[in-house]
Amino acid sequence: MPTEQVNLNEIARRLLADGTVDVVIGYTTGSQPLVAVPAFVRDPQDADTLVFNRFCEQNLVNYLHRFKAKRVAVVVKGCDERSVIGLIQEKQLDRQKLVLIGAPCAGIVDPRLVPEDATEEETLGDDVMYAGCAACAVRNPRFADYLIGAPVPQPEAPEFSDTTAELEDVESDERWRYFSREMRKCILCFACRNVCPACYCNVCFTESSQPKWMSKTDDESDAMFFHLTRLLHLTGRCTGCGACARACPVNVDLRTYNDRLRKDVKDVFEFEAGLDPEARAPMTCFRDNDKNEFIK
Amino acid sequence: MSDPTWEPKILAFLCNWCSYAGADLAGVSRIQYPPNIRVVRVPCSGRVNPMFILRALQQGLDGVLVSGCHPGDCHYLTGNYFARRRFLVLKRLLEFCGIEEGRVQFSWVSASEGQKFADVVTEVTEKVRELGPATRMVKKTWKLPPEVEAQLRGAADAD
Amino acid sequence: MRTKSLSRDDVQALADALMRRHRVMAPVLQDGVYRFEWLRDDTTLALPPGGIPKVSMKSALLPRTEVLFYYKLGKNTEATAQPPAPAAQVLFGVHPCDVQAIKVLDAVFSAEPYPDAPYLARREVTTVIGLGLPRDRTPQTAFFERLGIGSMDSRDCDLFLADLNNGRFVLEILTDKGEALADAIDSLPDASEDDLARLAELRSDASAHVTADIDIADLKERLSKLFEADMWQEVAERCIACGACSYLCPTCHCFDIQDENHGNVGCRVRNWDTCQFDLFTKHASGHNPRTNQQQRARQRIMHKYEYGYANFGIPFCTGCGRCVLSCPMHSDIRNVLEQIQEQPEP
Repeated sequence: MPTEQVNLNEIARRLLADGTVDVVIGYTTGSQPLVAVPAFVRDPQDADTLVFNRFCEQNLVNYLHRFKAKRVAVVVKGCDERSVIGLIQEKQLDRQKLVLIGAPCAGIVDPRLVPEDATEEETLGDDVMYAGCAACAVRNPRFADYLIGAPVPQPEAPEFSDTTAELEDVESDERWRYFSREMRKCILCFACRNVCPACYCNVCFTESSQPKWMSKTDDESDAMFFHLTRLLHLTGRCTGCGACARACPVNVDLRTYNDRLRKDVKDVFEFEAGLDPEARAPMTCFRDNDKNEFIK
Repeated sequence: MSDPTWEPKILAFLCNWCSYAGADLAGVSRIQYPPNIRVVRVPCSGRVNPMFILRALQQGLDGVLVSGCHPGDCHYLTGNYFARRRFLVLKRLLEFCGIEEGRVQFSWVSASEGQKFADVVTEVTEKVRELGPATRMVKKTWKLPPEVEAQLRGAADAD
Repeated sequence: MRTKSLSRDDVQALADALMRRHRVMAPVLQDGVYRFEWLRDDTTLALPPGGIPKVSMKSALLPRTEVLFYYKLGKNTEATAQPPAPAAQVLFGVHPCDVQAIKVLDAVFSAEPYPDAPYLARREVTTVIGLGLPRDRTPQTAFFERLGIGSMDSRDCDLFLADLNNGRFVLEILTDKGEALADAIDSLPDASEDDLARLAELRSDASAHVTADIDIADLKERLSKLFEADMWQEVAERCIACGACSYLCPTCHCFDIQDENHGNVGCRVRNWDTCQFDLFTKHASGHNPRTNQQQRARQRIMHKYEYGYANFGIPFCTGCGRCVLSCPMHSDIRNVLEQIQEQPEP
């Protein structure tokens, strides 16, 4: 049976009015053009403030960690929904307490690509989408309780970043130059980590002082330490939602590295995070015949 | 400016039950191998946190070796299986970022493989020697400026 | 006051000339982001259209990492050494709101009885070249005019470079420190009548738009009664507690002191830190007086608009708008200020 299609504001109002949920987490219009902001609606009368459009870039699943004791409805795009699946597998979310309001999505606008004098039509063009959106494999949520729009076409697209592929073909010197260059931009603000639904440790390794795992100086090796460790902690868990790259205030190219990690996990362990609720996360299991040639 | 007296400095994480014992056997059997490794004994190769390896590179070590029991022989049954998956991802990621292939290496050495241990260390040392001193990911914060180095030379040495 | 006329090419040439005797920090464009960076021989200056680069010049006065001293450890003794003295530096193209931000840092780091030697040493050797723009180029996110700062305001600058919006610039030399850069400036032509007239016109327009309608004294009074208010829950709800706003803010100045050790030598450093991180207030005992994001979000606003003004007589915000631009959740501090003003008297 296909998922019920509803109007966003009506379903939000209904879910709050009849007490099915305590809060609806969605998007609303913010103070700046081209970007929506997260909204937390508790009163049915405020349900009309919710919107869904091509400016809704944040992965709202990130907020669910704060609402574990409540019943919550959350607006999820296909990419966000993968995070929900992943978190349920890690026993961080109770599906019974969640209402998933699925939003079919044809891509989110990257404000940096929109020229200042753009018309409204121009902000809806495919050439101003985030690169990750152009490569999206899950435009339509698959496990939602409701859908707030008709399914959108799912074109064939290369799944991983072009830069990932390019860097695989060059010498280690050039790979090092690119990595250094990106890491030198990083100011260790941890916006990437904080927007990530998969980063939910109570005490992150960066905030640990006993032991002190990590220094936070301006030496590029500290930024490298952070990003490499975070990537390793995301192995088999990163869904490629792109929230981290969008959050970075200084445009560090995180996508190339997250995509390399996802590609490795797909090639070596035949696993993609957040797609199959029954699949076993690769770092929680092993096989007798796992790749061994790299070990002497 | 290359230092002709440079010798590779390699950190070796050896699991207590197999690789460390294998290293002991090499010693007791008087098998010669390069003295460039500094050993850290861990209960299991699965105990090795990737952050140890990253920290080693930051601190300027030229190479890292992690050695454990052969798959199926882990004293804790499954530690090395998980380590194997973890190390594969770490190795591929490090190489993708531009850390030279061969700086970070892995081996399975059992308690009875004294000769193999010596052979692995020899191979790893030669590879790291070929790669030269580590420069990528080495932290520079504590590098003393020349005037500070001059000032501190000889200081606090008396005891 | 001496004034000079410059073309756009002259501006790059001026920066290059200054590099002969100084370190120069100026806006550059890197992968779509305008940042204040130290210029090198191959770096091209890139003044952002709105005059406010996303990454501020704060690190020239308060480096992201600053060595406090080096040390060497013996078995029973230790020896320390000071880092080399900072080299003379020029901050090139600092928007008026950022110049006022430098005033905030000056106030904090020169406060008795503990003036901050490393900051003051750097400040002493810093020459500030302000950047003025016609006010219609002000970014939508900036609100410095509401805080009494105009886009052509040359207060507290050593020199002031005014962009006349027609490919021409006027350079005003305002202080002795400014005059000390004579070797880089003298060859420039004196400012033409036309350029000066246009500058006066743009300046008058900029001043006319300074509304100064955010009443800082009133905000401080209101905030002093809002510590226990419910509004902080809403402010914190969207916030993900990263450091983007604090690190890009030109007035945020909190730091953490750590030792960086390498065998028996090392250095004690101070690194940027932010009240938005959990570890910031954690005690050695493990107790943390601020355990949730409501408390941390409240702290940031209080420090900016209440404590800063109460202790130093100036607000710790100059309306540059970087926090609005860089927040991943697009929180807007202007909305918070409105909310504060709408709160009922407790």
